[in-house]
Amino acid sequence: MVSDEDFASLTISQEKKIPTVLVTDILETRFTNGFSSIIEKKMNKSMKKIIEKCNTVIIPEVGDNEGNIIRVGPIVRQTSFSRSNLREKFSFDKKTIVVAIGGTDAGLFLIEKVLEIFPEENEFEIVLVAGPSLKKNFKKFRNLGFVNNLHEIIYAADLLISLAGKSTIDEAKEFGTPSIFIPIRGHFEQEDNAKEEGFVFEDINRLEELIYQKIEEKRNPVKSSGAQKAAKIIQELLN
Amino acid sequence: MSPETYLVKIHLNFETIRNLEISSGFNKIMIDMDFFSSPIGLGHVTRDIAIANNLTDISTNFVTGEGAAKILQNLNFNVENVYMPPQFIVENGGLKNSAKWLWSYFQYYKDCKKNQTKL
Repeated sequence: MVSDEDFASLTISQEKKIPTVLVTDILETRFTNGFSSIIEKKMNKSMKKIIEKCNTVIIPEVGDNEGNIIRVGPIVRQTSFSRSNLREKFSFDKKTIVVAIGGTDAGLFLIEKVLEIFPEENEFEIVLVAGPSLKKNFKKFRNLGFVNNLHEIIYAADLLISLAGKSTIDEAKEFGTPSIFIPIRGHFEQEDNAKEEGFVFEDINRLEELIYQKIEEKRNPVKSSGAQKAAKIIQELLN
Repeated sequence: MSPETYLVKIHLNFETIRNLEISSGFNKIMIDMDFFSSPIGLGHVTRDIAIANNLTDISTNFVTGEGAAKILQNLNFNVENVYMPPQFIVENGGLKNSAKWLWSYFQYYKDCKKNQTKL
């Protein structure tokens, strides 16, 4: 049984002595302060025990292995299309800025900020990927809504503006797309991810300056093989 | 090489290939694997798709929910759409009531355990 941060399935499988593999980029949470943090600490202790019982823990980052933890590097989907094919497919003619907010409506503030900077048509093509949860209508800009292939859209884009989710960051780095990552304030995981890329929540206040600076940056793809390595680990356990 | 010998050689090669195909067909065993993917955000499922795309002779059954399940369905993966995770409350870019969210997550974890026992 393989779990990507689904701890309930790990608990049940471990009770039934089924071999378990965990894919995760966090080993503990830090959501709360004060009294609530005592409860969170207890939850972290239980989480640690579950992690220790896993046959293998796959972490999608670069670094040393320790105990049952294997760091395989970023795990990213690939595409069989070239960038120019994708730009043609998505009709990205002008310099294209993709604004992606992931699977929830938590990133609405980011879309609103971009719309505040560019209230009318401008030198860039602004493309929104508003995801499955956000029902708001954005008339002035193209909204791709819910997509299955964000990695290809990121590859085709000239600039990505996104929340600071690990997988989106990894996809942008894989394809070398210049990016701006604004974390949700108070979301420890996003704040850590953004910090690693040189961003903080307050960068939203200088987003316009960052857009003009970043869109001129050269593309710098950093190829990874985390998906192949993770699959090999799982395959070997099953065989 | 005479035409007869040539034909026999072609026939033998054909038989060898056919036998190899048959034997590899008998040896090929499809393994079932359950992949439980957190539906909190879409990042978990996208990296899990990247892993699944690199597995060979393994039939992957995903268990997840909401947007994550929708992506998998659209890409023709086997998926059980059973999870309904708690949503983060975000106002003006800031996470609100994180203690409440953590409590909801704990309830969600217990519901998932119940679901999986049934599965």
